[in-house]
Amino acid sequence: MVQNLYGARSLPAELRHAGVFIFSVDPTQRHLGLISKSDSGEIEWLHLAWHYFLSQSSPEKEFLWIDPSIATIRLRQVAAQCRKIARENALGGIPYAFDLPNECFDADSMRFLAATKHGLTCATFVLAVFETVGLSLIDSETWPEREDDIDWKSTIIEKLKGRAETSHIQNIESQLHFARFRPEEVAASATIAPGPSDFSSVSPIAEEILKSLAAIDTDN
Amino acid sequence: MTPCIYVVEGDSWTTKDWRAPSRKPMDRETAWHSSNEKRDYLAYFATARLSPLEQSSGRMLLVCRNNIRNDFFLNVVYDGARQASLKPRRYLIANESWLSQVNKLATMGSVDSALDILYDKVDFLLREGKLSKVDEILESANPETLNINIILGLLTTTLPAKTKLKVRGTFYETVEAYVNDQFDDTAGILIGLK
Repeated sequence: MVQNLYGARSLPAELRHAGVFIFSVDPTQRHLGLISKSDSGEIEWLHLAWHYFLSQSSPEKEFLWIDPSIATIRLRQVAAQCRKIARENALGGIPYAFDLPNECFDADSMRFLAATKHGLTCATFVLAVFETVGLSLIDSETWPEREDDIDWKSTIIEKLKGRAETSHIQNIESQLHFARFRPEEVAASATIAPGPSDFSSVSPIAEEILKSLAAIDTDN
Repeated sequence: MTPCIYVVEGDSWTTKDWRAPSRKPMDRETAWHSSNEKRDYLAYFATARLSPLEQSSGRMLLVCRNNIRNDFFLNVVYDGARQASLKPRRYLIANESWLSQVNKLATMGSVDSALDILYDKVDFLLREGKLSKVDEILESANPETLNINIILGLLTTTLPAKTKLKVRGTFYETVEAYVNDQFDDTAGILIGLK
């Protein structure tokens, strides 16, 4: 069993201000997001569901969540940043693309997302939020380029066509060879935070998380 | 009877009408206009952010946010039973008292509300390029008198501008010394915030 990985039933009691949730969309696709707990104990959700769709809805499917290995008082800041980003992006949202999750907070405009970025995935959104509060979960330099990730990105681009502007499609087509940080890998990096963790540390834990997700999907 | 809420705007007082307030926090948003100047506010009741004792007394915290300028915040205490006689508390008025008022809110137990205000305030100042104002805030911030969440909030919100702020480095060093002195387990408290 992966350390710091819990089932949905342990919420909200076990959550220390902020965490990460993950669930299987289908047998080949996982979705990742952030959870936070207010002073009153209310659970709040924040996840990049799709292009310009920053959702605050709870998952409709059975999920697992990670209690990050981060000092409790720092997790309060993660929760505060989640609320800030939710307030700011409630109307405009965040575009979907394959940018690296670094420097997403623009030091000039002080905006999230920086104008130099085309967009994020659900997984890089989580990485970016942690990064903006000074917590880099992964060492992106160590992530490999994988053939099936390029296939996945091509599928996403196809789905975005007709929804996103042509210029956005052209921009993200140039990102096909950027490293992909899979949802289960980002979830795994949170279990061994504070990072940054390299790929070889994260990969075996990600495999365990996939097994745990498969188990709850089988149970349901 | 329509509930009446007194709101402090700067140095003036304004009366607001509020219909059927929801006691469920964060799920009700409304736009309204002040009587003397057209402004849109994002407002919500945050009863649950008060202690159970305060809630049982009928007291509510109303948080209003200027949704256009993103620069004006109000916290008003409202008592449904004694609304006519109740005066609001004014938390955020002048710059010199701003940090201590936010700190007071955190010390009272409303840490989330305090951090929300702090994040929006510092972010607004940085976006407006008012770096000297932020430096003033950091310069006036004494870790020994501030709630640790507020201290970390200051370091977190100013992190993107760390190369532009003149006194942030000094503030970090002061905080580091304070944390080392006050906390047994300092690992991870300041990681990534230098």
